[in-house]
Amino acid sequence: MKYWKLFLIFILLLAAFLRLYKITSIPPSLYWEETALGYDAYSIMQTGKDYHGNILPILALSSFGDYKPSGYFYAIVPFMRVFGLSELAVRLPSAFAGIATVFVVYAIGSALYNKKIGLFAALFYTIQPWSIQLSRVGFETNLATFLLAMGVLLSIKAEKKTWLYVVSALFFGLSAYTYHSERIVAPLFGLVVGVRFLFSYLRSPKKGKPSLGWAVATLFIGIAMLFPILSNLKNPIIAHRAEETSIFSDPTPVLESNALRAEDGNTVVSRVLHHRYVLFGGLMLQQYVKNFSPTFLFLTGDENNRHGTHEFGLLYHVEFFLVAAGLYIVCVRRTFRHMLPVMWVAFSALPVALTVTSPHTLRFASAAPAFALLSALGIVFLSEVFGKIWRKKLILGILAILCIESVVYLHFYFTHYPVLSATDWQYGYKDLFSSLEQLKKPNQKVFVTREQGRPSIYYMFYTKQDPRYVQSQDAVVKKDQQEFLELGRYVFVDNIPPEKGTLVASSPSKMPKNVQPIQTILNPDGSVSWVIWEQQ
Amino acid sequence: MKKLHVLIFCMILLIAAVLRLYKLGSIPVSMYIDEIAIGVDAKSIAQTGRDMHGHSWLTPMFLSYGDYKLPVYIWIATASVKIFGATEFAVRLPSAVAGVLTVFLIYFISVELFEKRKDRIWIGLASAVVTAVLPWSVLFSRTGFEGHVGQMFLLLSILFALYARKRPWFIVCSAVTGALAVYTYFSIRFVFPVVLLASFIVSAKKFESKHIFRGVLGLVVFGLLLIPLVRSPYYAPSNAFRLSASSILDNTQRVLYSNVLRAQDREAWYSRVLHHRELYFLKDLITHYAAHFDLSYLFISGDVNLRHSTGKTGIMFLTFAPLFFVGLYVCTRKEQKVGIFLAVWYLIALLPASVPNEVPHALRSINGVGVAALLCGLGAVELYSFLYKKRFGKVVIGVFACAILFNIFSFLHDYTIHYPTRSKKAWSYGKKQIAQFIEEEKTSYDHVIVATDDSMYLWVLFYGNYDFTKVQRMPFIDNKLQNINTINFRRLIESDSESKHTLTVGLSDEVYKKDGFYPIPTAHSQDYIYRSQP
Repeated sequence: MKYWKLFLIFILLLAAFLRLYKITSIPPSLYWEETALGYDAYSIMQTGKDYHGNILPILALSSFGDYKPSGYFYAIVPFMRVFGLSELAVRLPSAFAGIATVFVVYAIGSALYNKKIGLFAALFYTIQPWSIQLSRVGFETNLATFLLAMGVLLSIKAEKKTWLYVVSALFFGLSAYTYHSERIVAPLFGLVVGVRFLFSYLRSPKKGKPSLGWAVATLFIGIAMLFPILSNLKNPIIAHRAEETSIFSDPTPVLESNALRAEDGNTVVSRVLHHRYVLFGGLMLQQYVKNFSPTFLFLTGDENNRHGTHEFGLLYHVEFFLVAAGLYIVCVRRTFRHMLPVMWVAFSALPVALTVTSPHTLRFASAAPAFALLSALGIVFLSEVFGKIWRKKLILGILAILCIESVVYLHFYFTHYPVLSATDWQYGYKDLFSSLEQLKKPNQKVFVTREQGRPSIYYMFYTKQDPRYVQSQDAVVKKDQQEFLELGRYVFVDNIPPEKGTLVASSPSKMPKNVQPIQTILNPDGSVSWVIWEQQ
Repeated sequence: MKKLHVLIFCMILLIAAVLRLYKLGSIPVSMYIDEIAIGVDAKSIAQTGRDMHGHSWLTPMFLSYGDYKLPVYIWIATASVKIFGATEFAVRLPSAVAGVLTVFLIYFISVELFEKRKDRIWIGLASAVVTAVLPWSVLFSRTGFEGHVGQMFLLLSILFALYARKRPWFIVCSAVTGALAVYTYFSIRFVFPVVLLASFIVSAKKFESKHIFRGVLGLVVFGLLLIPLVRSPYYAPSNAFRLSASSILDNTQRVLYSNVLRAQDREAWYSRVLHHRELYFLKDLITHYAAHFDLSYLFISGDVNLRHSTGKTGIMFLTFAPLFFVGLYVCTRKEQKVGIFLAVWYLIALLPASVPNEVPHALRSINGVGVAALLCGLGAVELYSFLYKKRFGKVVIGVFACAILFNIFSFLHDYTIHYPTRSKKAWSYGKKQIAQFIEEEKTSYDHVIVATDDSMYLWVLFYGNYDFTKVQRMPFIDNKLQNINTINFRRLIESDSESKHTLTVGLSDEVYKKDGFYPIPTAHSQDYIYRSQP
């Protein structure tokens, strides 16, 4: 029985290695959200305010005007104290969250079922492409997934120790402050936990009733944490993201509804049948269902190059059979313990159903641990279907296939993916700004084009701008929403204004034909990322 | 079978017939090029015993407009055209009849597959009623696609293969019907052999040598019957034609990608294995297969092509989803042999649909409609008996039944009222009116120039009054006609604007800039215009 501990330690070490090895160079650079998270965290660490000057924001930081939830920023601060303003500090919270989630998955598996399933689930989550991709980048969703999973774990453990409900509610609440999706998923879990507690309370004998005091405290904490979110639903601090991504902002279903009703002669029946809520409902259902497409989950992932490799899906190919077997055993047993992972997955797809981009690797990511649980249920069930002789051979066989698949995936991820996806990670900014700082003459104006997106935040990050200076400039400089368009002698433009003697950084296409670049910044595959030239 | 069962069965067939025959020919709004081509050949054979190119009707392959059609649908359409005249109804009738027969056959297949169960008749009836209303079946029953009739013959061959378990000589009937199916739709030549061999899974308690004998006999008869097809001079060009469509067989992208990756690995030995181009082929194939299991395609919006789907319903109703999944679950739990047979059947039916690049494809995978119906039927019966015993079971059953009825009625409402307008473009709406316009006006002019596309001649031949013995002697260039008496099908040239006694018909986006063009009054379409030069 002591072998369990050895296996677990091995799995955790593997998880740590896969998420930490060369974390700052694979993926090759910070993309703009990571840079924004990093610089704002630096600003909070130094001054207690974000770089726009807001003091200790609780709900969200305005960043580029897109109001990112606050959780991840504060998570970066302790790491930044140790490692300074660096890529490492930005990515470590996510990496540690990923490693910790492996342990949480083991704990959930062994609490719900048995140690064997717990270990399998932890192993599957450790090598899961979805988890690896998310843990190695400063994605808020990964931290939120950890917090949500902790909430789920604690709510399971709380069935024996009622005071844990309070801590569970705390974790659920924190997850809602870390990522948008959890603002829907966490309350749903809270509801389920609450209803279950109510039923178990009503059914338990008089002497064995769990303490109501803790339940009240939990309710209080839950509402207290939800209240700021709910009371700000119309405020851009919460609503902005929803408006940007929501399917309800699309006028097409309304137009279609009117057209259909007109074709029917606007009868009462047609006004109900073709009501725009019906059409929006249909659209929501379609968006919901897309997250379960086998192509998305097992073959290619979604279209965004930062969310996956495309070479593999979110889960390994063989996991299709494992998840299917897991779903089958859930349908056979039909206990709450078995339904929990399915419910978890079902809740996690709801936030994506409300948005225009579906399927979505990041917004659906809270389900990743649940899929590991389903795979674990599947492999154990499959092994038990066959007689004792085949049992070990089957498990070893499946593990062998999984091993081969993960080797192929990891080879691709560590060798090819950084080169193929470099431009999606805005590769080049680091070298660009160090070159610009070296090359520019004192007081020389520098134009940097916005072709690769949000150059100002990279400038602040890589030249370690003093947050107090930036805050003082917040009200003065030109901005696009909240993105800085100028700072100091640097101006960030879409079109380069003709001014003699200025230094310019742009793509080769924006450089006039007769000008020679002073320096060229290359991508890992040899293509040109930036050229630096001087205006005559 | 008791009298109640017979009554229910007849009602189901009646429903199936009504859904397929009501306004057949006018919904969908017009005929697509393949249907028109079938119609022209049928008209020609009905008149003269020879197709539009002058070849005898008894041939394993028709030239048509250069797409090499298989004969069986055209033969049946000829009979239909002879009786009902050259109308859309006549051309689509074979498919509608095949649709009703599909319902009929699914019942008997179901009863055969579940012979050990006491509720097999109810499963049969449930499967039949599912087929009768299923969008996948209804939509293709109302259109002249050979694939649908081929699917019906395949079902018949499956039924015979199942009968062959007790009465071995039925294997020959199965092979004959299988060959008939191949003479109706191309891709069935891959599907039938696999399904035939798979049918032994359902019958055998253990593997016996007589199964090998029966299987070989069936395949041999099947192969022999296909000889005329293989020996036809059109066989090779027809294969080339089918392979020319964009599909995963084109490996240029894969080769480039594979080379890039291997170069990055500096051509290491393991790289040639890991990044082998055939591995990517396998991935492409599996991805195309997986597209057919997309829940949106199955239950919500169906095929993107509006000739194959209304766009507002999946190939199965949304309310059938629970039935389908319960059926799948029951097959895994209790009826494993049937489950394996259905799985093999469905997977091989998906193969022709998964090779080309337009995925998911509801028509090329139509051979799987039987599987979908059987699973839904099984699921319906199992779900009913499960719920019946539960506390609020009867209420749930009632609510669910109402939901299904509502689903069906809103589908029919959409199909008859909104779908026709939505799908006009997909069904080449307007070409019939152009052809009729040309036929009316051609006597008032010396020349008629039709500058729309190279297939308009088919519409003119179908809707006009032509003696096909003369048509067969006309010069076909690249299997298409460019002149029919005074009508010329070609592009416009500069000198055309000066010619006298000429009627010109064209597409508004190409020729509208030239003056003198007006929209054609009967066409109700912005796309077609004409110019009259007296």
